Amino acid sequence: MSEGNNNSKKKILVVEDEKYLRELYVEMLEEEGYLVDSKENGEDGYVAIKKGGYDLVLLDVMLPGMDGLEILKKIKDSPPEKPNKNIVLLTNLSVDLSISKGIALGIQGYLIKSDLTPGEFVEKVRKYLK
Amino acid sequence: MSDILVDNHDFLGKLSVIKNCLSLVLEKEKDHHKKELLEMAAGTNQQLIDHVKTA
Repeated sequence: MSEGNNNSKKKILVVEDEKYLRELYVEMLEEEGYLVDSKENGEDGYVAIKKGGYDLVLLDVMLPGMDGLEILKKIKDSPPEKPNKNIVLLTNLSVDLSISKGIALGIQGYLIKSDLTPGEFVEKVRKYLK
Repeated sequence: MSDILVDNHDFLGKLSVIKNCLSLVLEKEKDHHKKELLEMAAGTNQQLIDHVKTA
C-alpha cells in the first residue's frame, strides 16, 4: 500500500472487458488499500451497479452484451438499492459522443484510458474519492 | 498495399494495454540501455495512439 490512509473503507467496482487492463486496475487499486470488485461484461456490471453501495464505479463504455451507456440508462430509470457515490466512464477516445451522453445520464466524470499510465490512473481515482 | 480496417475504439484499447505494460516495465528497469529501448517503444506506441485519435 502506497499511502497509510483510510482507503480500505472505500469500495470500487471496475467494469472492464479487457482482461489485462481489468486485472491491472484491480491490482493497483487493491495495493492502494481499496476494496475492489470487478466485472467483465455489461450484464454482470449492471447487476453489481444495481445492487449499489460503491464509492466509485469505473464503467467501460464498450462492453460485450450491454454497453456502459445502456447500463447508465437502466440505472437512471430504476435507481440502485443502495446509491453509488460516483460513476466514472472509461473510454479510449477523448472526442467521444459517449462522454456527453454519459454526462446527461448522470456520470461524475470520465477517464481516457489511452491517455493514462497506471500511476496516473490511480492518481485520478484518488481525486474522485476525495 | 491494402488498407487494414480496424475499429478505433478497439485498436486504442490494445494500444492502451501496450502503454500500460511498457509503463510498468519502464518504472522498474534500471539498465540504461534497456530503458532507452523501452522508452523508444513507449514513444512509438504513443505516436500510434495520437495518430488513431486524430484519424
